[in-house]
Amino acid sequence: MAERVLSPGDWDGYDASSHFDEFLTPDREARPGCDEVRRRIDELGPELLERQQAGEAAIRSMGITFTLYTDDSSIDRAWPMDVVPRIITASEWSRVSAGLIQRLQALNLFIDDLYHDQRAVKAGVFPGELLDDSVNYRKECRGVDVAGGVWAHICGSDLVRDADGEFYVLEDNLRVPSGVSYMLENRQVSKRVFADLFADLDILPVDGYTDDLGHLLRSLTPRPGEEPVVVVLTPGIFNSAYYEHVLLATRTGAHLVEGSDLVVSDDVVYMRTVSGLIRVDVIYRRVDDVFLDPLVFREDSVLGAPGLMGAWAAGNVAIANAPGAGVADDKVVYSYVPDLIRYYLDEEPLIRNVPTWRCGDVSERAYVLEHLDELVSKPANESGGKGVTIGPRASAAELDELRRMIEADPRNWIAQPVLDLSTAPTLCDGRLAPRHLDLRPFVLSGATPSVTVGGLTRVALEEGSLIVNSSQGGGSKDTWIIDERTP
Amino acid sequence: MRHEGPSPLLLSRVAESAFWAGRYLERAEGTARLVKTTSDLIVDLPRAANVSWNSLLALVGIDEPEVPLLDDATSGADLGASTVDRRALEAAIVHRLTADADNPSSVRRSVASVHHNLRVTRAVMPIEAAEILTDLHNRVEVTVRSAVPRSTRGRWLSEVIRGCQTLSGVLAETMNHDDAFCFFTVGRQLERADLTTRVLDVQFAALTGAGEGEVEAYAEIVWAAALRSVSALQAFRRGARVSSGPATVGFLLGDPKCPRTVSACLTEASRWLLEIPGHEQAIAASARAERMVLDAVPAEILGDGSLHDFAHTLQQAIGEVHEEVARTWFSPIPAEVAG
Repeated sequence: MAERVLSPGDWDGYDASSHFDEFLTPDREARPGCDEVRRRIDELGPELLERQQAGEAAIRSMGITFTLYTDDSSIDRAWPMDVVPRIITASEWSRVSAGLIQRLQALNLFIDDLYHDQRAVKAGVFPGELLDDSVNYRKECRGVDVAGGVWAHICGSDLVRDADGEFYVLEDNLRVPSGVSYMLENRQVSKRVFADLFADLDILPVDGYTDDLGHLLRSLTPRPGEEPVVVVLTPGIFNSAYYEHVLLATRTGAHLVEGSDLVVSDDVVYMRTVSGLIRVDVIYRRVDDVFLDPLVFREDSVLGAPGLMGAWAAGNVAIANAPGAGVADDKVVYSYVPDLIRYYLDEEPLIRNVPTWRCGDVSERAYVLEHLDELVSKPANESGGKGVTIGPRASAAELDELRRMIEADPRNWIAQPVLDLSTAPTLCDGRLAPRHLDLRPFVLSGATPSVTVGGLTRVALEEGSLIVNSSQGGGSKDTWIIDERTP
Repeated sequence: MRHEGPSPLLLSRVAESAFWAGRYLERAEGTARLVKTTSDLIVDLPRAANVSWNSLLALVGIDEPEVPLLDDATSGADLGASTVDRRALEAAIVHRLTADADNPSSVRRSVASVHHNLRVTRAVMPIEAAEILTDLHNRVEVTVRSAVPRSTRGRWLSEVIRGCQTLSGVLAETMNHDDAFCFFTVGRQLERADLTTRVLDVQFAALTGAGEGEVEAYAEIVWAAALRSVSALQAFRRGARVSSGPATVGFLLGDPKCPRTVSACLTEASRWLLEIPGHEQAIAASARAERMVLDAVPAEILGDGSLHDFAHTLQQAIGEVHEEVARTWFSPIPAEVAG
């Protein structure tokens, strides 16, 4: 490795003005909450590189991995983490948290409404015809009453900061959002690496998440008064998030089960144990809806259990997130969320949406097709960045193909402006350089809603890149919510 | 049903995986040790002793040799050619036992099976163990070409053995000694008992099968190799015994203190089975196998040549313990719900 000296003076070469940098102002002054960390980085100088190596060693010895798929096998790779933290002040975070809770509250009211009276449709707030071809609207869920009217118990929303420095919601993941285990592990690593800073600064702890999740899951039991049996339903060891399933099951005291471990009899779910069949009360499923029950959805699925939907509809087992909750993480639905917040809660949204054009609307579609090369186009129901075209970076041929796809199925396309994502200092080739980031906080919706303290920060490691996915070479950072008001 | 007990409920699938992880871990280590011992033995003995690699194939339950038997050729005049053939045979057999991706019992596949099964049990396994296992699995895959050549084989095998032992040690020291660990240990003990009976069978075949009697002169070396194959030579010698046939057979079957003997393995398996509710049938099967061992008279079964049959029957008895374990715990049937 080329030895380039990392010294305080290095900030001179740090570009804090081309994008909104979260650590430094354009004049390279530390932003609120960042002074102490900057001072420590300056003191460390080249030693910061040793801290990075110590972090990587900790990740290996703690066995923190993610699974990378190839055609015929899966490989466990060490989790990529940049030790330089991403900092957000506690006051800003409490505003964002309130906005996320407000948002999930409205989304849950919306989902419950869709499966019952469809008041929002009747009131003209949400076009009912969108449901007809929504791939995530489950007619099997119509009329089902879930505890507290909550369908999406766990939501992972993706947030980005634009050039104005404000957080925007980019998308909501209401089906099986993943990544929270890495938020927890990143904190373990950074506590090892920066033990001194944790002693000096008020960095709010993140560990409460699994306790909150455990309480939430147990609270869903259909048999209050008895010690509930909670399981995490995983697709199995070859799933890319298996590591996380193991961690969440372990930390919440749940059993990690696969579909084949479950048996449904007389609308009651049991798991096969060495002590015989044991009744299951709550299922935190990490399997998509369509795999849950071969009797109702895909009959070739071996990931779920036959009869599961019946047991759920009969109220004998709770499923988190409830089947059908995914109807609200459609990207077209996303564009209606601000209106839904106003309709159900009679409040103004506390956190903004990215402006979105719906291709299902004739005039909006015309605008999108006119400006394909300037916009980011997204299919409505894909996740993990699949099918997304970034106009300015696409070839003419790709744009032609995109135009053809939008014209063929306009309802399932949206477009958004290209965002100028914020940056934060990241170790690259032995020195600190600004790199683009996003943030995935997790919101729990139970008796007392809660939001993770920060969330999983993902960072693009290539200069100028917006690709933050670990499967495509992206990295991560620990997210520090710092109480800047404490002296 | 046991809700109130101290150990949390264990899924049948996880129990089964823990059990197989134990079996495969022992198989990987045992097979590596056996190949190593046989390699050493063949170097030690003059070619005239005529101890062949073929016996090893039978040991791991593979009957068909990969290349034609060349024993006839070795008595021919063209010694140079037969040396080459012997080497090819050796390479083929060692490959089959160590690096072969198609043989589910090869060292390589056994390690891969441990890896697979312990991934399933990861929620009940300590993180350190997962890391050691991943290292071992990766190392075996990366260095698999070193398994067969004589110049690198010994070191490769030693590293595998050491890796397996490290993993066993870490699991024993850090894993909760709950139901999952019980199943893991029972799997290991049954595999080890089985392997020991196979070693006896094979060494006996090596001694009697040679035919021309020349190997008799080296009987002591061969029996010592049997002991070394299961890492029991030192324990045996500490008892100031000479490695005669009956003494070795008696020791490997019934010595209660050496952890590699059939009797000790079955006792240990029973001890762990006792920890698991519903163990009656499995314990009874284990007791039946142990009874066979205690009733055996080594001088007799060696004298009348019935060692092979005895070993075979004993293997079946050990297999029955496995079947009882599977029947009792691995697949509770939905019918129980109705009851």
